Amino acid sequence: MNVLVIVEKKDGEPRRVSLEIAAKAEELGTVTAVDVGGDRLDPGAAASALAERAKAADLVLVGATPFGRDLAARLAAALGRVYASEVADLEAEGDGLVAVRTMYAGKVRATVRLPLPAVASVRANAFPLPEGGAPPKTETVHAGGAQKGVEFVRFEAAKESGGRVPLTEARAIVSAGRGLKGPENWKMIEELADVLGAAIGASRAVTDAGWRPNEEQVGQTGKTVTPDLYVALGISGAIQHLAGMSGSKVIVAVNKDPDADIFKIADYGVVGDLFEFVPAFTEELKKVKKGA
Amino acid sequence: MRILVCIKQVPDSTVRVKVGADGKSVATDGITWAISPYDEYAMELALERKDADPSTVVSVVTVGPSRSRDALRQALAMGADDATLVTGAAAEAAGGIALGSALATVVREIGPDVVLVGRQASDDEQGLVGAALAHALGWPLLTNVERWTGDEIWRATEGGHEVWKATGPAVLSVQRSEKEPRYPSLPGIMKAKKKEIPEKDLASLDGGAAPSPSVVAMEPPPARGGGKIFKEGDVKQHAAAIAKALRDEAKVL
Amino acid sequence: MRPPTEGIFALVLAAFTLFFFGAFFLRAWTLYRYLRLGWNEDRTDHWAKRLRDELVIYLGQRKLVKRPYYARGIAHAFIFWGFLVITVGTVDLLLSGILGIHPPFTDSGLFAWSIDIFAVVVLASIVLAVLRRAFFPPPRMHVARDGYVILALIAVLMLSLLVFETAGVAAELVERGFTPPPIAGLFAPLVRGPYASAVYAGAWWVHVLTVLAFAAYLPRTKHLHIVTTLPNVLFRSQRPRGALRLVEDIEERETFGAATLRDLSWKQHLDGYTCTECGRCSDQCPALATGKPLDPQKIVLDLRDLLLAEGQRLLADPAATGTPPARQTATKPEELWACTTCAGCVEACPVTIEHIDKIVDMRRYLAMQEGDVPPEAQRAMTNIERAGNPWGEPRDARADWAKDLGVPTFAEAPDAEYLYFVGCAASYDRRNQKVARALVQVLRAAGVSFAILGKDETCNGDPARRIGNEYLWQMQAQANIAAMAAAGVKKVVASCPHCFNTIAHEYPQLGGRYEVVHALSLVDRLIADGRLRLDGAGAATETVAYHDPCYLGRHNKIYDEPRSVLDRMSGVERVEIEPHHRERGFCCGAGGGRMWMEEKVGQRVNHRRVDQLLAIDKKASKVASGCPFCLIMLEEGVGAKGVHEQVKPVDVLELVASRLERKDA
Repeated sequence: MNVLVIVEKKDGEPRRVSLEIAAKAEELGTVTAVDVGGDRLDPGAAASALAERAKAADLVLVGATPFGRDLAARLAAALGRVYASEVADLEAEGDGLVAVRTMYAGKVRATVRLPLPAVASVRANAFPLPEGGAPPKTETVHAGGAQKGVEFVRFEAAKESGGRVPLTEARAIVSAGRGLKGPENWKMIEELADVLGAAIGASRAVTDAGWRPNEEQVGQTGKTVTPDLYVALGISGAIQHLAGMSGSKVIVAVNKDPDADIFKIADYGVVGDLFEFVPAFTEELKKVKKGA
Repeated sequence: MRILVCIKQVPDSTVRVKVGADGKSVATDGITWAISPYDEYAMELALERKDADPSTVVSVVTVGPSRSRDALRQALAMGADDATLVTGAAAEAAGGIALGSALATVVREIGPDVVLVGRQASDDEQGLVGAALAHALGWPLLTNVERWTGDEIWRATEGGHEVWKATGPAVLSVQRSEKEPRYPSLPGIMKAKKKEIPEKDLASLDGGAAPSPSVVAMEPPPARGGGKIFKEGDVKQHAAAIAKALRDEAKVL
Repeated sequence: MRPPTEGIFALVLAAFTLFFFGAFFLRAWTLYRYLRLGWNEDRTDHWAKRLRDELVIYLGQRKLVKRPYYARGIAHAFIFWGFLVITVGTVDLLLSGILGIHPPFTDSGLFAWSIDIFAVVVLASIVLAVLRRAFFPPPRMHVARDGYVILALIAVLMLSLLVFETAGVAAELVERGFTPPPIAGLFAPLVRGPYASAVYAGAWWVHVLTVLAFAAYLPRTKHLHIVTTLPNVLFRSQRPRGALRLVEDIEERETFGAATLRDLSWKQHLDGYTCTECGRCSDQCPALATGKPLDPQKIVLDLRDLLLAEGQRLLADPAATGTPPARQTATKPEELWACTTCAGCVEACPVTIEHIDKIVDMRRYLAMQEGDVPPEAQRAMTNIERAGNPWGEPRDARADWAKDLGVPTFAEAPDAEYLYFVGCAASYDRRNQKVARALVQVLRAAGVSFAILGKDETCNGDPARRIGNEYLWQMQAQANIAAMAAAGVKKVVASCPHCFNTIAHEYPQLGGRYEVVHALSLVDRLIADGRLRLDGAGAATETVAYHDPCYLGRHNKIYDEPRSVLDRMSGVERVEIEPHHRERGFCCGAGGGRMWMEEKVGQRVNHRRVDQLLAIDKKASKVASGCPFCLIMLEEGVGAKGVHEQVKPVDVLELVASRLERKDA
């Protein structure tokens, strides 16, 4: 099968997810890799620029970044192809593919059949990145300008979040409570969030104390969040907090009280000192992300 | 200005989703239905325009089985002016591309200046309808829209917002509104109960068959509780174990 | 005594009387017409109770004389009683002055003694009142010029009375057959002489004219309460305090809540006329105490002022709606949303003003008419609507807590005596699930047969109703009533005071009538009946402070049973959170839908409550309550203050369960 891999670049370098899908594509068939150049790329313009090449492929794979999801849906729509978004696994089967993807706000894991030709956006970390593998050779497709009928005006940089994704859109959230003892200890939380590409959340006690801004409060009277990963640090798990985050897919909890209610809903938990845990966890995640 | 909001009825986010007997769909008996959350944001964004300029007309449409009428009532109660139900035997299973072309027909009939869709429905989580509809109409599509004031359309991107302007009709795929979606007033609910909701047959619209993925199996979500809790021992080792598990077992990194 | 109104003076007096009473009635008539702008709520039921209230609260001044207002309450009572007696004397003066006739009994010794004793006592009380205003003004009291004017008027009245009586005796003007003023008479020798009759006439006229001026002045000040308290007490709400008024035919209405002044009942407006601005309600308000923008007294006065400002216009144009009370400039929505409906104000008010009803009527307008509620409260309501609980936990997980306990549903045990109405908190909150489990243990130990509704139970609707969303409350109540009817429920036990209160007192409004009991009342009875045996042997003595939940205490007057349960346990030394207990108990901050609203202004109410707990002399190792909301709030407060090791919040039921006699032992 002919696979077109669309490589997304950030700061001139291919994104890790693009490399992961390129490697996977090699298993599936003959790979053509292209990247779309240009800063502040309009996904609409990119889709038009890529349409011809996509048409020639049996399968188009794109990393499920915000840009990639947008682009993939446009390509599927433009070509009238079968589409699966945010697949977490993909295998050839018969004359088509089977993909695994979540549905119902992450509550259900579904296996879906995709007849070819198809387009799929693929989640990061769905496939391993082989060690020492050379990045795919890509041809750059230039997608200038914008779609017809809309004009780009300006860019407004986010002010407060330090470039972090907003809580309610975040795939991962690192959230901390009173157990953090004081505002001066948030640096390690920020470091952990940076490694995870996570947004930062807080319990009500923390925003009350003024350690963090109100917008970061998660819970019944704060934000309701449903990330894939929620790391709860020094949060006991009162219902007022749980009501805002119990829809998270995977919950990691650290608390020194073994009876803390948060452990009853946690997927992974550590009874212990978070000041010991967080720096170690940050280091381990860095290693794991590098493929160790 | 006339705004058309396309919504979908989905199981409410509070519902504990269960896999049905066939093993490849969700059991729907006794569950509460609601407007998909991103569609609610789209509704709110449209109604905020109407708040600012009362001459704005907000129409709402859905494609779905007859129970979807309740979602339209909800939208009317929130403040939409009129609602259209597109239904039929194929309504429930229709894929994004088929929905896009069916909705395009509705758009041509209603004649809105702008069409809003939610970023993705919370049931199939495909996020294809906006793109399919824009393609079918030949209109531009702006995604991840979070704000729409004056003629400025703000779409979220990495590190901030891109501000765009539409020179003609456009499809906006919404992921957020400035305020939380409004709670309908009681007069709104009562008025909505009495409003006529015209029905269209999906088959009569220019939909046609479009290929879409078919679900072959569904796995229920793992039950909460019974997680791996390390009660004692070396915290650093646990940190390493969890980091690996997040990548290899949970696959959330 | 012979009135100094010979000849033309009787006519002069008659003219003055007509003029001043005319001024009184003119104003009173205007006020009455404004009041009738309110809708015609029927308050003519329960006559026996109304008459009893009139005797106890109005004549007996029962609500004035109480903790912590004993001294000033007694002073007021004497002024009031004196006022009543002296009013009779005034009638006598006017009648005899104009027509030369005396009403019966005015010649008696009892009458003469009463007048003099009260004149002296009132004078003394006035001195007390002036001293208090001048030197120890209560923090919440509006010490206005008005108050001094009135006190001065009363003082002039009493002094002139005593002077003319004294001079009258001296001038030998006591009519035949009349008892001479016994106290004033003692001083008669001091003024005996040629000027006695002139002094008499002068003081008499001063007295009578002051009375008349007072009457004309009255309806233009807060001292109107002298007149309006009588009907205000007589027509006080005889609904159970915990019950809000039903909005009837809700699907047929066009406006909801207090959309205009016409949508408040006449009694709500009478409340405004009756407010004495004493500030006792404000003293008790947990929102005000913690720096929130709410003062219950201001709510009442703002409504009164709005009525006085807009009354004329509304009367002139029956189609006019005027300013929606919740949108007036004086009262802000933030004030209305700050209320926990704890009833501290209602309990404290000496003239039976109904603060909560006003606040809820205005919330109803905001919530239902405008759909404008704080976003977090809106989320809670959406959750109730869709998931049947304010936290948005899955509807079908409601009975999960009971799975391993084998608690039957009514479908499984249709003959069960009691329905245990679990409530959302005990169903979903892991902390409160422990309380539900404790109750299950206790009921089983006592051999009480019970079952739950399981997934058919839904939120009782209390938060929605108190937020102002009556419609959602009715939907929830109807769903529960239908489920209870299907199960054939006759008796209900609830561990949550909010469930208890709304099922017991509000579900009957929709036809749901059951014998409803709060778990702690039931447990108290079970122990008293010998059905439940507690075995405290080995339990170390712990000091337990009891925190009164508002919806058990003030709303339902269940103060004693939970205390009795604690007292029946061995190993428990019960202490009070002085002085905030029983009627003066301080809210945990979660009532009135506040549990689901943000609290960013001032101190958190629950933190203040924990401060009060920590301030008592005898340190408690536990703070026990009988309400899941209180438990959540106390847990949070104790955690925030970092005193979790020192004092543990519990539910009384947990203490009971831990002392159950073990059969195997």
